[in-house]
Amino acid sequence: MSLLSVLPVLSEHASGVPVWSNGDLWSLINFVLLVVLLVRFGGAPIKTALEARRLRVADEVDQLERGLAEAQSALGRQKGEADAGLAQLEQIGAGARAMAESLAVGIRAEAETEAARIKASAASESDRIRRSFSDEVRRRLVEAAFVRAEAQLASRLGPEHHAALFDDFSAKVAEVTP
Amino acid sequence: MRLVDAQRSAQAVVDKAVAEARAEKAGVVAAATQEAAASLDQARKALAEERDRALGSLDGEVERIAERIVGQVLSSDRAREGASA
Repeated sequence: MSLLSVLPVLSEHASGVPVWSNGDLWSLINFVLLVVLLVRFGGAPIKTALEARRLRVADEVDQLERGLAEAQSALGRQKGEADAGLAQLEQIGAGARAMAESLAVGIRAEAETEAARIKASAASESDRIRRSFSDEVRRRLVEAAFVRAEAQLASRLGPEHHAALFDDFSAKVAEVTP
Repeated sequence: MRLVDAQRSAQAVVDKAVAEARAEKAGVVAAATQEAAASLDQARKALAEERDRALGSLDGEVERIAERIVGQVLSSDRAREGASA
């Protein structure tokens, strides 16, 4: 309904037809009355409802933003904890590798020490055998020398001298060095 | 769970390294023992040969020592006779 719609009403009035019998005029009046009533009585509740709706939406937006911030914070914490866990795992692995290397070095050192001890023991045993053989040669040399000396003395001295001479010589035998 | 797995993995790394090192040690010790035994056996043979050669060439040394013994005995005898006279 617009002002143009009034034109036929006025034209009918001009033609002698009563104005109040026109339906369009009453429709126009009803519309105007509806608008006036709506503005007079419905503006404030609608405004209040829209404001309440705006506040609810703003509150929901705030809640969502806080939730998002909390989620981001939690995600950051989780990422930090994950990074710390990975660092701890790396630390455990590095510690294990270091410990393994240290133990291996120690065991290798023990092996070298043991090998050196075995070689030293063999060298000591070789020296002992050398001394044993040397003592044997010296002992057999002295024995043979005594046998030969005894034979020579038997041909040069009479039996009466033998016992006394060999007893005397035996006391000095320690002074003889081959 | 991952921490437990990491600890098990670390223990496995340590165990493996220790086992390898011990195997290496056993090899080194066995090689040293074998080398020492061979060296000792060779030294024993060489010394035995040296001893046999020394025993086979003692005649001159035996004669020299026997002469010294005889000289000592005769000198002692002369000293005894001089003392009794």
